[in-house]
Amino acid sequence: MNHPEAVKEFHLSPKAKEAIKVALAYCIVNFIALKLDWMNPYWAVFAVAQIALFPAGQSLRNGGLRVAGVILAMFACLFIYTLAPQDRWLFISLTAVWMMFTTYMMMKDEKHSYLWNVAGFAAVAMWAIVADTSVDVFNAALYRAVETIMGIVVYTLVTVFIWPASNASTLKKLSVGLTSTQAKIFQLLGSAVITPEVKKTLKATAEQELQLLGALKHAFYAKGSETYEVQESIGFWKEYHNLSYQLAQSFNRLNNSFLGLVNIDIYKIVPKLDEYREEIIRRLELAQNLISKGGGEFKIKPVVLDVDEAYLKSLAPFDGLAFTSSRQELEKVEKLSQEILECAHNIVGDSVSRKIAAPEKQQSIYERLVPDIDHLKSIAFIGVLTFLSACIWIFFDPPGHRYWMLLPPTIGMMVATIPQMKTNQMVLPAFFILSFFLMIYVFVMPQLTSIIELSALYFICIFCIFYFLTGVYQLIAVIGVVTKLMVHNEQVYDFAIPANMIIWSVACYAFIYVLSYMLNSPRPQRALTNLTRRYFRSAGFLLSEIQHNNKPGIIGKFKIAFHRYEIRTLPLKMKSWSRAINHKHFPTNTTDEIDYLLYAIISLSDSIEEWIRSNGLPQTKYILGETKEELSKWNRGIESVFKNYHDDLDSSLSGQAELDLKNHITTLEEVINQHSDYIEKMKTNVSSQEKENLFRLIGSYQGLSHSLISYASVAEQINWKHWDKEVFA
Amino acid sequence: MSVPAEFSIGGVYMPPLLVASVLGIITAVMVARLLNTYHLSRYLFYPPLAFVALSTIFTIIFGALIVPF
Repeated sequence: MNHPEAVKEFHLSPKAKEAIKVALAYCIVNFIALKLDWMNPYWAVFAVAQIALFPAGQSLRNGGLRVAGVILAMFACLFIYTLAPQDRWLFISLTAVWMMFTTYMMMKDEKHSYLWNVAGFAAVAMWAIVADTSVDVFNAALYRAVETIMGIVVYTLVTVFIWPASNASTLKKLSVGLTSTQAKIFQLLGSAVITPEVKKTLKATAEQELQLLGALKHAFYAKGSETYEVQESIGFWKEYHNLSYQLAQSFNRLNNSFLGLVNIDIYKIVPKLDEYREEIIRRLELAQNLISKGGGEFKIKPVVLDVDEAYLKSLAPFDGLAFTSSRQELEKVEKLSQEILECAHNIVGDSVSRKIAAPEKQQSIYERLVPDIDHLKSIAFIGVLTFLSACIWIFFDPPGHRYWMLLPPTIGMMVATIPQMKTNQMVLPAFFILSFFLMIYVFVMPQLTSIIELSALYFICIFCIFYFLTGVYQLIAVIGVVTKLMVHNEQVYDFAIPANMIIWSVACYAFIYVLSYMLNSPRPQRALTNLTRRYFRSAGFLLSEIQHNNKPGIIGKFKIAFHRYEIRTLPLKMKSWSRAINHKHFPTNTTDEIDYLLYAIISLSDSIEEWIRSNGLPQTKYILGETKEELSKWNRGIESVFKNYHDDLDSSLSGQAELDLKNHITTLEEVINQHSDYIEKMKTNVSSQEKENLFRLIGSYQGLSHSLISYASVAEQINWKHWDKEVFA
Repeated sequence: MSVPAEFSIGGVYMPPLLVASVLGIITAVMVARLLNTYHLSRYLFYPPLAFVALSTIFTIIFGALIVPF
């Protein structure tokens, strides 16, 4: 390739573009603040650096959210100053309450998370100002708000107009991948012979489906998600995710009900099953094509599940029940495949005038009021952190002085939302990185004589930080530039102040780390085992409570909603903690093994959820007492397994659980097949919906047992004792 | 008995307690790494507390022997 061609082919990487945009915004903001001779110009650049650390949502809307957050912070600051101008304890308490409120809202209100984050950190930044009179307070708060808004506006304009980012292609790629995975699962589910190889592939594909569902949901909030192209059809993207999720649940149920069909030839009951399945797979493939190609024609061929009723009647009652359940699920899958195809057409189609998806299902009052234990811990943490930081300033007045009110709560908000962030690991990097910027401050900055030279220095520093550094190092380096390289129009160089600031930063991180024990053990392997125990406590509670308490009172319903929430959310929290485990200390547990364990837990959650739903379905009054008794025994068996895992995660239960499952299935089959009077009543008095409900309940027990066996076999590979050993984190 | 004196690094004066505590913490980090490597930390009841104790002990040792504060 000759030189001109090489130049023509040269493309900047997204990371380089991002770094250039942040550096440019930083320099422009600094120039404006200095040019206008505003109070403390570093306030404006501080805002740019702070928001650039959060990569999500570079859009005008998020810019607006940031501005709204600053205005909210300004009012909160002035309000608290007005309420407690002379009473430091009231002032500190109100500050802590504000930080708790904004942190809670940041975690709870995902759509406006950004606004609450800015409302929190901008408020403490305003409280950290030096003010002797109420006029000073007002001026400083106003300047801080104006400068922060200026920083936000410039940053937003730069990011929106220079190389605007869109995640439409990510959404498309994930959706296509998800639908293709689901088509593969459906193909595998209908395999004539289920060999161990097919089972293994099915498990791996189901794990992939789970990952893609999570990634697609995450993509709605990712960088560039609010560009016009995506926002125009965001409702349909969310509907697509919702339909795919429903399809995944249907596959799960279908798999459970197929387990009951092992003794019968399904092709004899449904002779045209292959055609039916092929049409569903064709629809899913068509949906992939529509999304990946951005349009095209499609036609939905109606298909009906033709059943040989005569053969069905000749089957044993238990098998008949099993088929009723499978039939309903197959019909649901067919309906969902049609809806997915229509949704894909709506996403890419220009002719659709109103892209509004169906409203989301309303949660019950209990589900809405249920608290998240970790959120409560987080707000307690940020409250105590803010209060104690102020106490450190008041009683010890260490280096950093009033800034103790600023840095710990700001970093604390991040730790509260991402408890895996270990600030002790920031201590040594902070010492070296901040010392490096101190050297620039001492040796380079006094040589600069113009705004051009200063801007060049800032541009190089910010570009290098955002291009070469990531994670904790990036965060510390940004703090280094903002706090060590700050300038005023009347600049005086002083070694002592920035040197003291290094001690202050390092001490702040150590202090936050000590307090982070409030959230969970900062040792991730410990946190993971704690969460796993919590998971089995909730699972055991649900199995016991739902089975034995048919009509729970208000407190009972609340407890059930709480434990269901735990079962739903704990696997994701475990996943976050598992990523933070230092595998150098635990070489016996590989990352793959831990991933398998997490997938097994997620699958267990789905099975528990399905079991709860099946338990809530109306059952026929003709259900046999022996059947009920057998199910009750089964329930007690599963409950005791959960209890054993809660008491000892290292329990070895896979063999026993497998044996129990086989025994229960055999007994149930015998119970149902041996009672001819029961069969007669079932034929005449029980509707097909009731039959489906009954088998769905039995299927849910089967599914739960299979998930438990799967978990047990993976959990036995984990060296739990090693995780419980003490190590220096 | 040696008299406490500020510690001069390139003409910049540091309080002796700061220097001793930095040395103490660095030594404690190294000892903690060694204990992890040889799986000796499993005998400790609570490693974070042990780390604080080690840092304090090493700081006092450095203070007594090298940088009096």
